[in-house]
Amino acid sequence: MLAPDLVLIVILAALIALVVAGLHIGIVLGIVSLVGTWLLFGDLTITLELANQSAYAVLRNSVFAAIPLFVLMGEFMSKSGMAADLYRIADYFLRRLPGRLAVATVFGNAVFAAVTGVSIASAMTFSRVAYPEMRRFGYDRSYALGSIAGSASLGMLIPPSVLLIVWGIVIEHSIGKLFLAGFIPGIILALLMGVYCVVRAAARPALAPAPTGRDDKPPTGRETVSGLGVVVLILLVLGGLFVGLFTPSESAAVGCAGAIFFAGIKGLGWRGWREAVIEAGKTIAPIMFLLMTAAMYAKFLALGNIIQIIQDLIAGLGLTGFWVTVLMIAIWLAMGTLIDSISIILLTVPIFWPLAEAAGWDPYAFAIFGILAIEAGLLTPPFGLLVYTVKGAVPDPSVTLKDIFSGSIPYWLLMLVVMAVVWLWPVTATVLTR
Amino acid sequence: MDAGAAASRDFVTRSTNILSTVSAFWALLLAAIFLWDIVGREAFDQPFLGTHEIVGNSIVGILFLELPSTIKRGAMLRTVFVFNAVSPLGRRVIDSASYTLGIVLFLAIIFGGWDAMIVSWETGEIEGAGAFEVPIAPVRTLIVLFGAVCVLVYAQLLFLAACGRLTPRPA
Repeated sequence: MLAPDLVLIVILAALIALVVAGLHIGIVLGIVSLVGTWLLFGDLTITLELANQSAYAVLRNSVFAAIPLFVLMGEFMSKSGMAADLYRIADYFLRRLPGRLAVATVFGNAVFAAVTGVSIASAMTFSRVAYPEMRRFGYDRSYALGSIAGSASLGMLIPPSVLLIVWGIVIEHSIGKLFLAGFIPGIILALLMGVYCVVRAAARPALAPAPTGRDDKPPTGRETVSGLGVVVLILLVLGGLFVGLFTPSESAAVGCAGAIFFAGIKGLGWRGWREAVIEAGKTIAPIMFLLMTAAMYAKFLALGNIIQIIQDLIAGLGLTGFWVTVLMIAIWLAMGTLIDSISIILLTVPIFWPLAEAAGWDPYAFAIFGILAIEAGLLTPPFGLLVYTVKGAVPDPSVTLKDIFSGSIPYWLLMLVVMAVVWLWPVTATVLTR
Repeated sequence: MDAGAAASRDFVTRSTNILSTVSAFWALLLAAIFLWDIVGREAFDQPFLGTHEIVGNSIVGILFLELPSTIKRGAMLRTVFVFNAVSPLGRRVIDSASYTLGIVLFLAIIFGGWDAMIVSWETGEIEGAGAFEVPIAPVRTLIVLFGAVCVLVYAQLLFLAACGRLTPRPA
């Protein structure tokens, strides 16, 4: 048996080294937790029991069902083309604004975010639909790409959000309240992004020339069905959740059924239906496996009283709550450039939340603050995930990563602005949770 | 690659894909169960008894049926900046280390769950009370069984990587 502080150093060093080397994160989390437990207790039975408990007991909670069901809902909505229709409706209603196609991308993303739980699907859809349209009318390449990658991050903030579900599971707080907490900061961020697009286009019209000779037709019947569908789904999913009619998992089930219904109306055939279900399965398993092994990690941290050791360390360094928060932001921004958002939450939040709680943070404001920091990392070099997604999805091979990164910088700064707002005025996140 | 290895890989790919499809449709079935419960509860004051027990056990089932295919496709989440920067041999070493640790982790899950599975069958362990009871032994068995399938898939990948028949491309 080793002393807990020595085990902590060995295990955290191994965790960082193996994750950075590129081994599968879920496997690494599970293995270091089991090895750490064995080093702490020197008992194979306790170690194997940790593996058994995490595989069997942790996931057997119906709250986890919200994740596969929200992912399924998003897949059906993407496959049925509802996001593309939303974009065209937003474009029609914003036709008098400078930079209208970029603003439509931001607001299309914001509304789509209210019915899907992930950012990647939005980034892919808008790359395929909005980018060719913006280029056709002479929009600056970087300005156009930035609006797509930047606004896709709204998907994780505006409820429902898979990241907020994972966060709620980790800190054992109400997922419904976390969704409510994301609402106002999400709207503020969407408005700031929209204002940025307009101001930039008004100041430099060459970035986004007003479309000339374009026949602005009102939305077609097909597009109207999509628009109505999205409104109905928002009312059902978020309305039902917020008035207390449904649990998060139930609202995900209702949303999933609604998405299937509207996809049927829009003519999604059996082939598309099957593809949507299978694609969702491929997204679900890596997330759920991470949740399972992260439970091993959380139990290991608890068994070794690791959080107390880290808190004592921070107290020994004499760091105030302010500097603890700054340290956490720096770690999140750095990790966000390298690792996917869910892994970051599972790796850091079990350690960060007790520190933040001691520093006086409200759990809901802290969650929104953290999600913003982690999502900002998805837009920064060298490995911003959203930037790579846009690069992979835009139908233009001449687009470079530099084009997308440079266009995304203003959106990254706006995310930092909203982080500062939530930090200075946590009420923006907590007011709806009371 | 010799014909035997190719056939075996093809068999593993097809089998894991079938498990993955079953798992994905099982997830969709959960939506139906929730809806039945909501409509029954709100409209007829008759909720679907056992929703939470069925859903909870299903999530474990969905994960373990999907895992072999996820492993086979190389879809486990990872960081890529070192992985993409090293030589093909370096990538083989990193992947082989992942496969080896994967085998160890799933063996720990199998050995950790074995006794509980046997006891569960012997005692008729159940979850829930009164009108709706769910036997627990099947889900414990599923973990051990598909944990073993994961070990086999990882072992196959490790064998192919060690023999140089599987050279991973940058992710």
